[in-house]
Amino acid sequence: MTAPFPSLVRFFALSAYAPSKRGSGARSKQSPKAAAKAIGLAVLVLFVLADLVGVFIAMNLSAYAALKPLGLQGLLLLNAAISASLIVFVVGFITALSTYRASKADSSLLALPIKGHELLGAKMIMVYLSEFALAFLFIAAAAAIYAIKEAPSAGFYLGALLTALSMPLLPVAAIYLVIVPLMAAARPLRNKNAVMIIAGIVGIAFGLAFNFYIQVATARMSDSAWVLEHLAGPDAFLSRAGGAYPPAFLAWKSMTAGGAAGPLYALANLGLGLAAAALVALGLGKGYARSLLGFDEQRVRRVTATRGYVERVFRRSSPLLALFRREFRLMNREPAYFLNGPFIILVMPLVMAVGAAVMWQNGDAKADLLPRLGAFVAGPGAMLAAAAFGAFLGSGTSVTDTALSRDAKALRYLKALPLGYRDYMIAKFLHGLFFAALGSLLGGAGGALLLRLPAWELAGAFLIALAFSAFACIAGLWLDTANPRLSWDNPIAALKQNPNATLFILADMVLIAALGIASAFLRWGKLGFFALYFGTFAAATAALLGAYPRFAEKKLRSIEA
Amino acid sequence: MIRLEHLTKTYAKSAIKAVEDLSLEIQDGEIFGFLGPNGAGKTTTIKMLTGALEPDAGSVEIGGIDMAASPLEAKARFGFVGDDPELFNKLRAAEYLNFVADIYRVSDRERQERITSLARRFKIADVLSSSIGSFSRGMKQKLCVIASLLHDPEAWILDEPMVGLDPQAAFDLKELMRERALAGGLVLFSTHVMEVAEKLCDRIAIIDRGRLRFVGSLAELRARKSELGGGRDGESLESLFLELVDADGSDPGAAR
Repeated sequence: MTAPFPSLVRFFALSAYAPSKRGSGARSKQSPKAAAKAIGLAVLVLFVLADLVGVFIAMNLSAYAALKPLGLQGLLLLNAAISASLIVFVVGFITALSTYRASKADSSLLALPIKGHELLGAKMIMVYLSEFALAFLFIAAAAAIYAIKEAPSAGFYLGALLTALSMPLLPVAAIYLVIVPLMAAARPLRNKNAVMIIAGIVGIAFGLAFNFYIQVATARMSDSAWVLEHLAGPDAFLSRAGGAYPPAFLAWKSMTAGGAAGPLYALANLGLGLAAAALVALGLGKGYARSLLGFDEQRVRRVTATRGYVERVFRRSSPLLALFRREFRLMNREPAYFLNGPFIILVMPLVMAVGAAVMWQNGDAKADLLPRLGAFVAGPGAMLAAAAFGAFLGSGTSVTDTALSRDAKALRYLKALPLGYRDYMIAKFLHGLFFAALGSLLGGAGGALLLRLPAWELAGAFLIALAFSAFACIAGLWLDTANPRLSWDNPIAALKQNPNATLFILADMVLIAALGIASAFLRWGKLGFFALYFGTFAAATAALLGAYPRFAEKKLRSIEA
Repeated sequence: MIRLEHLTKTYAKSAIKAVEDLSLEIQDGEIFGFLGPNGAGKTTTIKMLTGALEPDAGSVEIGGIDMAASPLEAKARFGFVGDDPELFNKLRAAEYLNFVADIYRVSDRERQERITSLARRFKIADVLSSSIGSFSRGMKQKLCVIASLLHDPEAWILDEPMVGLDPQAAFDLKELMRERALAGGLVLFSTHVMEVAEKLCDRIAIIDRGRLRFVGSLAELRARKSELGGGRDGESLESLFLELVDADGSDPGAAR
């Protein structure tokens, strides 16, 4: 028999991190599709990890090269400890918020004889596990470079490992110290949509800030004067943070003190983190359990249905408009769909703006970029660049390439209504086209305005982007109609775990990039490029739209809803 | 009138026949109960009847319109209440009702009258501007019932309609079924609750393992069981049902 607490920890950890298993184990193992998916996922994880580790190693190598001549190479480890703590805090905050009440099962645990502090403690350990992996990456990248260059004693390695173990503890305790009272006090927050919106905004803000930090750090780490001012000086952020945040100081000492003292500092750090986490779990456990009660309950709004209200609200419209409105409301009122779909039109320009800001700050944007592209940019290149950005925004919203999958649960009911399948699918296309036009306008026309292109080139960029995005909409819709994902428990899966969305966005980016490269080799004028791209994609859209309704009708009839 | 002829369906993902050679005729003005244990084929039959699933063989006619030949016309003749009211939680109740009324092309005046009357009857008139996600399961079920009647259909098909309803709403729904049948409409519903079928239905069909075991009135079922040496006067539908579906290897040809 396992004691309740370890069982609870195991339950939360498996719920959060174990890969989902479909069907019987033996059967799914034999499936080539399942094997291909597992391999694809493993490659993706390795790619992301290698990318992150590569960035950290590059940053640390530059920092070491800058600090070594000053004899301050130990600061590399202090920098890693502080960076790890900060990143763990932000990422941990998002994880803790989004798993605060991961599913209805969390609330149903309250009916079991489990103490509040056991529930919170197990949840904290679940969050700690992922944050440890992140902290380990950070510390290991810096420690490996330090070890290769400085050849420290064996105690260093033990100190580094204990540091990686201890660094997430205090941030995780601090996160729950903030979140539990907040959730207990603010009832509107106890709702999965509110949680998702807050976590999404924090995540986006963090992503943008991290993007900025990485770009600045990789560009400036090799600049000794900048490193001295920002990392090594007595008033530098690093020195002040190291002094004010004891775990960072202890981490630094544990890896640089040498001999037996190093692991002792690390153990002190570990003890400090464990004590803080235990205090939070014991102190806030009851409050956490109470805050799970009534989670996700919504208040019913009551309005007297007067004659005036009924006449104002219940009015006839065409079936196609009714279907379009339904598409629009169901996608954009579901935070999981909106944040991963149409919201990209707002986020991507921000990400691009961060990159541009760093390039301008470094003062090398125009100097480096323009001469390389030379006459092409001075000619049709600028219009095409704006069009490409518009095409990317307009076609990257995942509206149509998940359109039928998102309706999986409603298909049985919808198929019993006297609605024409043609209208039903065209409403989905129009919904995608709405955001395609918005993305084309923001990216294509907005980009043209930023590049100060004349009015006709602005119109040209917008129209090319719109034609490309419209083509992408109908192609995406065709893809999801041919192979919809109809079996899911969580609506998020219809979009985020839909192979159609992944396949489509990859194909989309490859096509835009390939056209960009091909364009650089063509010696055509602006009008020629406009005619080629607008004409081709408009014609392709018209051709697909002409053939699609018959295909969709046949497919929808055969779906076993 | 609803006519099902030789309906057969085998799902693509399984080799088992969910429904096999099922024929049935339901007359206007009749309340018809569709009974059977879990996995018997009730829902598959209703899916084929409502056009959500294409049969492998056989045909469906609603009000004389063939579902395969003219699906939109056939679907416009019935109202449907599914077994899962958790469909459009992100819509407001009024938006959902307007959507359904638009699909059935109901005029402004008719939709306003029917929504007002039915929403008052089911006591959800004051929550029509609320999000469906904030409703209890019973309120969602009431909303689906209202939506299914917005176009005043000649046939009313309900899949497990009593689930989640409070006693008052269940009573109101049964009354509404009787009213529609008395007015010449056809009501077909599936249920597991034998008492409801016993008190409400003019005729019942019992389906098991994809095949019809019995079609007729409760009195006819008792008479048939008496002929075979069982079935006493006053014996409940529940015990007759259990005897019928428990009898392995019963003659499929017994269906009438």
